[in-house]
Amino acid sequence: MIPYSSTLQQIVGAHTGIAPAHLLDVEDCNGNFYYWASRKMNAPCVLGLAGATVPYLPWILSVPEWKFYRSMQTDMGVIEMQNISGDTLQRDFEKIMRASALEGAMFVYREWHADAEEASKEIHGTLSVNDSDPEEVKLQCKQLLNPSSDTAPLYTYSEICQWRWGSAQCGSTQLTPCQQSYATCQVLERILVITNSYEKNFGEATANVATNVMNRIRQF
Amino acid sequence: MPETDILNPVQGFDPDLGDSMNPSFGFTRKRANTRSNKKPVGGQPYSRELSNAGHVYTLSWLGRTLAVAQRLKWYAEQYEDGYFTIIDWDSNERQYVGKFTSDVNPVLTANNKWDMQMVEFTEIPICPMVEYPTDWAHEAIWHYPFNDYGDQKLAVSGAWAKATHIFDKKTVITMDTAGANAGDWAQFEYRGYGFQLSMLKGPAYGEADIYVDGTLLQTVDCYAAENQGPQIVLRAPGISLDFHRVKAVVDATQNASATAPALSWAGLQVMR
Repeated sequence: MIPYSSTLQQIVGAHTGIAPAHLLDVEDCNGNFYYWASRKMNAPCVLGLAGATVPYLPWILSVPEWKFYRSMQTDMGVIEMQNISGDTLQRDFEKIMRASALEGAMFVYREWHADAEEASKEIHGTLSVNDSDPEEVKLQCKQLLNPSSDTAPLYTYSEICQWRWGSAQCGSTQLTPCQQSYATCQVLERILVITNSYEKNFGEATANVATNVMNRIRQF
Repeated sequence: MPETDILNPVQGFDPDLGDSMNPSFGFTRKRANTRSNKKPVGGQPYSRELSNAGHVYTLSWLGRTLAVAQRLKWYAEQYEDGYFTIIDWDSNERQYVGKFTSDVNPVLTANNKWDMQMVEFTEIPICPMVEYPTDWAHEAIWHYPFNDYGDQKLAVSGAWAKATHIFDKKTVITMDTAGANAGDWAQFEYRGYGFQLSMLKGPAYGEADIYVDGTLLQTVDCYAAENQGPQIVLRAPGISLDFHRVKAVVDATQNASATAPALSWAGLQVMR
């Protein structure tokens, strides 16, 4: 938890006051920086030359009601910005989109109390763009840790080794292939199996086990 | 410079139009509601200012000449995507910059008599003005370092503390600093036009740099030979409608005659 300064506590907790401004810092994949806000102001930025005062363009129309799940469920929300400004050939946002991709761009959102010069809330994450509405830009904001977007290898729990024999992961340099089993493994330190210790007190001689040798990993 | 285009530059009869451009009625002197108010069942109300929107007037011109109708129509079209100035002659000649946000529908009621009713004029914030509002006695309000509920409203950084002074048997609650640490600051954010900054003046008061929205406006000297109490030390009327920040930064310097570089923020009078 980031403690509020005493000044921010006073300003945030007061009965009366000015609502905080919404500031959005964005760094796209090419290293370009954009600064947008719900009202025009100069404020110290987070992305870019951190701490330097930069002008924020008043493009933000609405911000989401942020919900923090405190679990593996992804925190997300949509920031809406105007997409009307520009010239007769291109809208401002189109120029940005043509220059670079905002997909996956990093953002920092802040609820900024201009008088205290501090933020009462700061959220870091990545963006993707929903371009379904030509007059509004909808920036989909997602938290930095987003397990649902991870690309994980498709492996299963198995007693059969899932490496292709002789592949880089397998590492075997021998001449004859293995049977994908623990017993026949040629590079045991790399075997990709779930090893089990079988209970042997139940008469294993009568167990109904397959007797055919089958190589389940081979495609051809 | 569209603000120099004034819809009704003449207070009374305009010989060019054969009529007056002033609306028959509609200057309600009411501004748009821009606040969020919440009242706990057993507590005091909370509020936040949400928007910098300005005044909205529903104006009507009754029984006017065709020239008036044409002029209204032209202003509606010309400044559809811009703004112009309208003057409320009856209210200390206060000017507003904005545009018509509803249709102008001239209706012929008699020979060369036209009615234009319920024309909505909406003030546009952050626009420059020919003359900024100056009726401090009637239209400005005071913001103090602490609000009526006792909350600290003046954001501070460094060695500032609440203080109570008595002048002419009146209690003044201020935010004070000894002024020793250059760079300490106090800042107030408000919604409105220009402002007048009130600080205590006396022999032990020093100098402060006053910033508006992050830009240095002026250095003020709070020295006076006698303790004078709260005094207007800076007037800045020429500021457009918006959210603004007024910041006093400790200079840690003082007038050659002053005995100390202290500063004491008494209040901020803001034009609404």
